[in-house]
Amino acid sequence: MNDQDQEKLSLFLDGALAPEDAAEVARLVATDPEWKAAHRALKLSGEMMRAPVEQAARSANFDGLWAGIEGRLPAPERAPSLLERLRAFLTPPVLVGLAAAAAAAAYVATRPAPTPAPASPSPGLAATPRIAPAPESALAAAPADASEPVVIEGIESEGSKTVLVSQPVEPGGTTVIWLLDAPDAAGDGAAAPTTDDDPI
Amino acid sequence: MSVLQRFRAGLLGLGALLVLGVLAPAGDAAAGEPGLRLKVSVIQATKEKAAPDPALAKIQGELQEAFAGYQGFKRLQAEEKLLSSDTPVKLELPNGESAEFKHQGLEKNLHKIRFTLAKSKVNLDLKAPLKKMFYQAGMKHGGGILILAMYLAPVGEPPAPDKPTP
Repeated sequence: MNDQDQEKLSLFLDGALAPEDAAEVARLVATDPEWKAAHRALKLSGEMMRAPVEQAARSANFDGLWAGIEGRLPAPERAPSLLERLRAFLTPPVLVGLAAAAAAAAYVATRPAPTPAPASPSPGLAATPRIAPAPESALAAAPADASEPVVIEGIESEGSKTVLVSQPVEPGGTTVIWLLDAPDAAGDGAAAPTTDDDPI
Repeated sequence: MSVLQRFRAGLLGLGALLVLGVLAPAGDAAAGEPGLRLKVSVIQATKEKAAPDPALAKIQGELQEAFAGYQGFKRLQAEEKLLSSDTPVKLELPNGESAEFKHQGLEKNLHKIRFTLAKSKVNLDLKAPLKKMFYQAGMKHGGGILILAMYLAPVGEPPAPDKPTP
Protein backbone atom coordinates (compact mmCIF):
# COMPACT_ATOMS: atom_id res chain seq x y z
CA MET A 1 0.00 0.00 0.00
CA ASN A 2 1.28 3.36 -0.88
CA ASP A 3 0.37 6.72 0.55
CA GLN A 4 -2.46 7.19 -1.90
CA ASP A 5 -3.95 3.90 -0.78
CA GLN A 6 -3.67 5.00 2.86
CA GLU A 7 -5.44 8.27 2.02
CA LYS A 8 -8.13 6.50 0.10
CA LEU A 9 -8.65 4.10 3.00
CA SER A 10 -8.93 6.99 5.41
CA LEU A 11 -11.52 8.66 3.23
CA PHE A 12 -13.36 5.35 3.02
CA LEU A 13 -13.58 5.21 6.82
CA ASP A 14 -14.83 8.75 6.90
CA GLY A 15 -17.46 7.91 4.23
CA ALA A 16 -16.02 10.54 1.98
CA LEU A 17 -15.34 8.44 -1.11
CA ALA A 18 -17.42 8.26 -4.25
CA PRO A 19 -19.57 5.12 -4.44
CA GLU A 20 -17.41 3.43 -7.10
CA ASP A 21 -14.21 4.13 -5.16
CA ALA A 22 -15.86 3.09 -1.91
CA ALA A 23 -16.94 -0.21 -3.56
CA GLU A 24 -13.40 -0.80 -4.79
CA VAL A 25 -11.89 -0.10 -1.34
CA ALA A 26 -14.49 -2.35 0.32
CA ARG A 27 -13.55 -5.15 -2.09
CA LEU A 28 -9.81 -4.70 -1.36
CA VAL A 29 -10.38 -4.66 2.43
CA ALA A 30 -12.39 -7.87 2.09
CA THR A 31 -9.97 -9.65 -0.23
CA ASP A 32 -6.50 -8.20 0.33
CA PRO A 33 -4.89 -9.01 3.73
CA GLU A 34 -2.71 -5.94 3.60
CA TRP A 35 -5.72 -3.67 3.00
CA LYS A 36 -7.63 -5.55 5.69
CA ALA A 37 -4.85 -4.99 8.26
CA ALA A 38 -4.48 -1.38 7.34
CA HIS A 39 -8.22 -0.88 7.58
CA ARG A 40 -8.31 -2.44 11.03
CA ALA A 41 -5.35 -0.41 12.29
CA LEU A 42 -6.74 2.84 11.01
CA LYS A 43 -10.15 2.13 12.46
CA LEU A 44 -8.65 1.35 15.90
CA SER A 45 -6.55 4.46 15.93
CA GLY A 46 -9.61 6.52 15.10
CA GLU A 47 -11.55 4.95 17.90
CA MET A 48 -8.66 5.52 20.28
CA MET A 49 -8.59 9.19 19.38
CA ARG A 50 -12.35 9.68 19.65
CA ALA A 51 -12.75 7.88 23.00
CA PRO A 52 -10.90 10.42 25.24
CA VAL A 53 -12.61 13.36 23.54
CA GLU A 54 -16.04 11.83 24.02
CA GLN A 55 -15.17 10.89 27.58
CA ALA A 56 -13.89 14.42 28.30
CA ALA A 57 -16.99 15.88 26.71
CA ARG A 58 -19.21 13.71 28.88
CA SER A 59 -17.35 14.61 32.04
CA ALA A 60 -17.13 18.33 31.21
CA ASN A 61 -19.25 20.70 33.39
CA PHE A 62 -20.77 23.49 31.33
CA ASP A 63 -22.55 25.12 34.26
CA GLY A 64 -21.42 28.73 34.59
CA LEU A 65 -19.71 28.66 31.23
CA TRP A 66 -21.54 31.75 29.97
CA ALA A 67 -21.06 33.54 33.23
CA GLY A 68 -17.35 32.89 32.97
CA ILE A 69 -17.26 34.18 29.42
CA GLU A 70 -19.17 37.25 30.40
CA GLY A 71 -16.81 37.79 33.28
CA ARG A 72 -13.83 37.81 30.95
CA LEU A 73 -15.46 40.12 28.42
CA PRO A 74 -14.54 43.84 28.73
CA ALA A 75 -17.19 45.70 30.71
CA PRO A 76 -19.55 47.73 28.49
CA GLU A 77 -19.62 51.51 29.00
CA ARG A 78 -22.05 52.26 31.84
CA ALA A 79 -24.27 55.32 31.78
CA PRO A 80 -23.16 57.70 34.58
CA SER A 81 -25.44 57.96 37.55
CA LEU A 82 -27.29 61.16 38.48
CA LEU A 83 -24.80 61.85 41.27
CA GLU A 84 -21.87 61.39 38.90
CA ARG A 85 -23.45 63.71 36.35
CA LEU A 86 -24.09 66.33 39.06
CA ARG A 87 -20.51 66.06 40.24
CA ALA A 88 -19.27 66.56 36.69
CA PHE A 89 -21.62 69.49 36.16
CA LEU A 90 -21.10 71.36 39.43
CA THR A 91 -17.60 72.57 38.80
CA PRO A 92 -16.36 75.54 40.86
CA PRO A 93 -17.22 78.16 38.20
CA VAL A 94 -20.73 76.79 37.93
CA LEU A 95 -21.05 76.80 41.71
CA VAL A 96 -20.03 80.46 41.73
CA GLY A 97 -22.68 81.21 39.15
CA LEU A 98 -25.30 79.32 41.09
CA ALA A 99 -24.30 81.10 44.30
CA ALA A 100 -24.60 84.43 42.54
CA ALA A 101 -28.02 83.50 41.22
CA ALA A 102 -29.08 82.42 44.70
CA ALA A 103 -27.78 85.65 46.20
CA ALA A 104 -29.64 87.68 43.59
CA ALA A 105 -32.81 85.72 44.21
CA ALA A 106 -32.47 86.23 47.95
CA TYR A 107 -31.85 89.92 47.43
CA VAL A 108 -34.91 90.30 45.22
CA ALA A 109 -37.04 88.21 47.58
CA THR A 110 -36.03 90.02 50.73
CA ARG A 111 -35.76 93.54 49.33
CA PRO A 112 -38.30 95.75 51.07
CA ALA A 113 -40.91 97.37 48.91
CA PRO A 114 -40.29 100.98 47.98
CA THR A 115 -41.83 103.29 50.48
CA PRO A 116 -42.92 106.82 49.80
CA ALA A 117 -41.51 109.71 51.71
CA PRO A 118 -43.44 110.19 54.90
CA ALA A 119 -46.34 112.59 54.84
CA SER A 120 -45.07 114.02 58.07
CA PRO A 121 -43.05 115.87 59.18
CA SER A 122 -42.62 117.33 55.71
CA PRO A 123 -46.14 118.01 54.65
CA GLY A 124 -45.41 121.49 53.48
CA LEU A 125 -42.82 120.18 51.13
CA ALA A 126 -44.78 117.14 50.16
CA ALA A 127 -47.55 119.44 49.05
CA THR A 128 -45.33 120.40 46.15
CA PRO A 129 -46.51 118.12 43.37
CA ARG A 130 -43.13 117.84 41.65
CA ILE A 131 -41.63 116.00 44.58
CA ALA A 132 -41.83 112.30 43.91
CA PRO A 133 -41.85 109.64 46.59
CA ALA A 134 -38.35 108.55 47.35
CA PRO A 135 -37.79 104.89 46.57
CA GLU A 136 -35.50 102.71 48.58
CA SER A 137 -31.94 103.34 47.60
CA ALA A 138 -28.49 102.65 48.91
CA LEU A 139 -29.01 105.59 51.19
CA ALA A 140 -32.28 104.36 52.54
CA ALA A 141 -30.76 100.91 52.96
CA ALA A 142 -28.98 102.32 55.98
CA PRO A 143 -31.96 103.00 58.17
CA ALA A 144 -32.09 106.61 59.13
CA ASP A 145 -33.28 107.15 62.63
CA ALA A 146 -35.33 110.30 62.38
CA SER A 147 -35.45 110.46 66.17
CA GLU A 148 -31.74 111.25 66.19
CA PRO A 149 -31.18 114.92 66.82
CA VAL A 150 -29.44 117.20 64.41
CA VAL A 151 -25.90 117.71 65.61
CA ILE A 152 -24.19 121.05 65.23
CA GLU A 153 -20.50 120.32 65.00
CA GLY A 154 -19.15 123.76 64.37
CA ILE A 155 -20.21 127.37 64.17
CA GLU A 156 -18.27 130.18 62.56
CA SER A 157 -19.69 133.69 62.72
CA GLU A 158 -17.45 136.42 61.41
CA GLY A 159 -20.11 139.10 61.21
CA SER A 160 -22.41 140.71 63.71
CA LYS A 161 -24.75 137.76 63.98
CA THR A 162 -25.15 135.63 67.01
CA VAL A 163 -25.87 131.98 66.51
CA LEU A 164 -27.86 130.07 69.08
CA VAL A 165 -28.87 126.47 68.73
CA SER A 166 -32.04 125.22 70.32
CA GLN A 167 -31.80 121.50 70.75
CA PRO A 168 -34.78 119.34 71.68
CA VAL A 169 -35.08 118.07 75.20
CA GLU A 170 -36.99 114.99 74.15
CA PRO A 171 -36.13 112.59 71.36
CA GLY A 172 -37.82 113.55 68.13
CA GLY A 173 -37.99 117.21 69.10
CA THR A 174 -37.12 120.09 66.87
CA THR A 175 -33.71 121.59 66.34
CA VAL A 176 -33.67 125.31 65.57
CA ILE A 177 -30.60 127.26 64.58
CA TRP A 178 -31.24 130.83 65.57
CA LEU A 179 -29.46 133.63 63.82
CA LEU A 180 -29.89 136.76 65.87
CA ASP A 181 -29.07 140.29 64.95
CA ALA A 182 -27.00 142.34 67.34
CA PRO A 183 -29.19 145.00 69.01
CA ASP A 184 -29.13 148.20 67.03
CA ALA A 185 -28.78 151.71 68.42
CA ALA A 186 -32.45 151.85 69.29
CA GLY A 187 -32.02 148.76 71.26
CA ASP A 188 -34.29 146.88 68.90
CA GLY A 189 -33.20 143.34 68.70
CA ALA A 190 -35.40 142.95 65.66
CA ALA A 191 -36.07 139.28 65.16
CA ALA A 192 -34.43 138.29 68.38
CA PRO A 193 -36.95 136.53 70.55
CA THR A 194 -38.35 138.48 73.47
CA THR A 195 -38.42 137.14 76.97
CA ASP A 196 -41.76 135.56 76.23
CA ASP A 197 -40.69 133.82 73.06
CA ASP A 198 -37.10 132.96 73.85
CA PRO A 199 -36.64 129.72 71.95
CA ILE A 200 -34.17 128.29 74.37
CA MET B 1 -19.21 72.85 22.22
CA SER B 2 -21.63 70.41 23.75
CA VAL B 3 -25.06 71.30 25.01
CA LEU B 4 -23.82 70.92 28.58
CA GLN B 5 -20.90 73.23 27.93
CA ARG B 6 -23.14 75.83 26.35
CA PHE B 7 -25.56 75.56 29.24
CA ARG B 8 -22.70 75.91 31.68
CA ALA B 9 -21.34 78.97 29.87
CA GLY B 10 -24.79 80.50 29.76
CA LEU B 11 -25.29 79.90 33.45
CA LEU B 12 -21.95 81.49 34.22
CA GLY B 13 -22.84 84.54 32.20
CA LEU B 14 -26.18 84.84 33.94
CA GLY B 15 -24.52 84.49 37.30
CA ALA B 16 -22.02 87.21 36.47
CA LEU B 17 -24.80 89.56 35.41
CA LEU B 18 -26.72 88.85 38.57
CA VAL B 19 -23.65 89.44 40.71
CA LEU B 20 -23.11 92.78 39.00
CA GLY B 21 -26.76 93.64 39.47
CA VAL B 22 -26.69 92.78 43.15
CA LEU B 23 -23.41 94.47 43.90
CA ALA B 24 -23.83 97.60 41.81
CA PRO B 25 -26.05 99.55 44.25
CA ALA B 26 -23.81 98.69 47.17
CA GLY B 27 -20.84 99.75 45.11
CA ASP B 28 -22.40 103.14 44.44
CA ALA B 29 -23.10 103.64 48.10
CA ALA B 30 -19.62 102.57 49.03
CA ALA B 31 -18.24 104.94 46.46
CA GLY B 32 -19.82 107.82 48.31
CA GLU B 33 -22.27 108.72 45.58
CA PRO B 34 -25.42 108.50 47.60
CA GLY B 35 -27.47 111.23 46.05
CA LEU B 36 -29.20 113.38 48.58
CA ARG B 37 -32.10 115.72 48.24
CA LEU B 38 -32.45 118.78 50.38
CA LYS B 39 -35.91 120.21 50.65
CA VAL B 40 -36.21 123.72 51.95
CA SER B 41 -39.33 125.68 52.66
CA VAL B 42 -38.80 129.36 53.27
CA ILE B 43 -41.41 130.56 55.75
CA GLN B 44 -42.21 134.00 56.98
CA ALA B 45 -43.24 134.12 60.62
CA THR B 46 -45.01 137.11 62.05
CA LYS B 47 -46.31 137.91 65.47
CA GLU B 48 -49.64 138.90 64.04
CA LYS B 49 -52.15 136.14 63.88
CA ALA B 50 -52.86 135.04 60.33
CA ALA B 51 -54.90 132.37 58.66
CA PRO B 52 -52.99 129.12 58.52
CA ASP B 53 -51.19 128.57 55.25
CA PRO B 54 -52.58 125.38 53.69
CA ALA B 55 -49.11 124.62 52.37
CA LEU B 56 -47.92 124.39 55.97
CA ALA B 57 -50.96 122.66 57.38
CA LYS B 58 -49.14 119.52 58.41
CA ILE B 59 -46.35 121.29 60.25
CA GLN B 60 -48.45 124.08 61.67
CA GLY B 61 -48.42 122.51 65.10
CA GLU B 62 -44.68 122.01 65.06
CA LEU B 63 -44.12 125.59 63.96
CA GLN B 64 -46.37 126.95 66.69
CA GLU B 65 -44.56 124.89 69.28
CA ALA B 66 -41.02 125.65 68.12
CA PHE B 67 -41.70 129.34 67.44
CA ALA B 68 -44.13 130.08 70.22
CA GLY B 69 -43.80 133.86 69.97
CA TYR B 70 -45.11 133.89 66.42
CA GLN B 71 -48.67 133.34 65.31
CA GLY B 72 -48.59 133.77 61.56
CA PHE B 73 -46.72 131.43 59.26
CA LYS B 74 -46.68 131.73 55.52
CA ARG B 75 -44.64 129.76 53.04
CA LEU B 76 -42.80 132.03 50.64
CA GLN B 77 -40.70 129.56 48.77
CA ALA B 78 -40.31 125.82 48.38
CA GLU B 79 -37.12 124.41 46.98
CA GLU B 80 -35.70 121.03 46.37
CA LYS B 81 -32.01 120.67 45.65
CA LEU B 82 -29.75 117.77 44.89
CA LEU B 83 -26.84 118.01 47.26
CA SER B 84 -23.36 117.25 46.10
CA SER B 85 -19.99 117.02 47.72
CA ASP B 86 -18.47 118.73 44.72
CA THR B 87 -20.34 121.96 44.40
CA PRO B 88 -22.32 123.87 47.01
CA VAL B 89 -25.98 124.34 46.29
CA LYS B 90 -27.09 127.94 46.52
CA LEU B 91 -30.48 129.18 47.51
CA GLU B 92 -31.49 132.82 47.19
CA LEU B 93 -33.67 133.99 50.04
CA PRO B 94 -36.32 136.72 49.93
CA ASN B 95 -34.33 138.96 52.25
CA GLY B 96 -31.39 139.13 49.85
CA GLU B 97 -29.38 136.61 51.79
CA SER B 98 -28.13 133.46 50.10
CA ALA B 99 -27.89 130.10 51.76
CA GLU B 100 -25.42 127.52 50.57
CA PHE B 101 -25.42 123.82 51.33
CA LYS B 102 -22.70 121.32 50.67
CA HIS B 103 -22.80 117.63 51.41
CA GLN B 104 -19.67 116.52 53.19
CA GLY B 105 -20.27 112.84 53.63
CA LEU B 106 -22.07 110.33 55.74
CA GLU B 107 -21.21 109.46 59.31
CA LYS B 108 -23.19 106.86 61.20
CA ASN B 109 -26.33 107.49 59.18
CA LEU B 110 -25.99 111.23 59.70
CA HIS B 111 -25.30 113.43 56.72
CA LYS B 112 -22.68 116.05 57.25
CA ILE B 113 -23.74 119.34 55.76
CA ARG B 114 -21.87 122.60 55.48
CA PHE B 115 -24.46 125.36 55.75
CA THR B 116 -23.41 128.89 54.91
CA LEU B 117 -25.23 132.20 55.07
CA ALA B 118 -22.87 134.25 52.97
CA LYS B 119 -23.92 137.79 53.75
CA SER B 120 -24.24 137.08 57.43
CA LYS B 121 -20.79 135.48 57.33
CA VAL B 122 -21.99 132.46 59.19
CA ASN B 123 -20.86 128.91 58.58
CA LEU B 124 -22.29 125.91 60.32
CA ASP B 125 -21.21 122.29 60.15
CA LEU B 126 -24.05 120.05 61.09
CA LYS B 127 -25.01 116.43 60.93
CA ALA B 128 -28.58 115.49 60.22
CA PRO B 129 -30.44 112.23 59.70
CA LEU B 130 -32.66 111.60 56.75
CA LYS B 131 -36.30 112.52 56.98
CA LYS B 132 -35.96 114.78 59.95
CA MET B 133 -37.05 118.39 59.85
CA PHE B 134 -34.79 121.03 61.29
CA TYR B 135 -34.95 124.77 61.14
CA GLN B 136 -32.89 127.88 60.82
CA ALA B 137 -34.65 131.02 61.97
CA GLY B 138 -34.11 134.60 62.98
CA MET B 139 -33.29 136.58 59.88
CA LYS B 140 -35.51 139.63 59.67
CA HIS B 141 -37.96 139.90 56.83
CA GLY B 142 -41.17 141.82 56.25
CA GLY B 143 -41.96 142.64 59.82
CA GLY B 144 -41.22 139.17 60.98
CA ILE B 145 -38.55 136.58 60.63
CA LEU B 146 -37.61 134.03 58.06
CA ILE B 147 -37.68 130.37 58.94
CA LEU B 148 -35.90 127.87 56.77
CA ALA B 149 -37.48 124.47 57.24
CA MET B 150 -34.99 121.91 56.01
CA TYR B 151 -35.36 118.23 55.34
CA LEU B 152 -33.01 115.64 53.89
CA ALA B 153 -34.35 112.85 51.74
CA PRO B 154 -32.82 110.15 49.58
CA VAL B 155 -32.87 110.67 45.87
CA GLY B 156 -35.95 109.37 44.15
CA GLU B 157 -35.76 111.04 40.82
CA PRO B 158 -34.01 114.22 39.78
CA PRO B 159 -35.82 117.23 41.13
CA ALA B 160 -37.79 119.43 38.84
CA PRO B 161 -36.23 122.73 37.83
CA ASP B 162 -36.27 125.33 40.51
CA LYS B 163 -39.56 127.11 40.69
CA PRO B 164 -40.15 129.47 43.56
CA THR B 165 -43.46 128.85 45.19
CA PRO B 166 -45.05 131.90 46.77
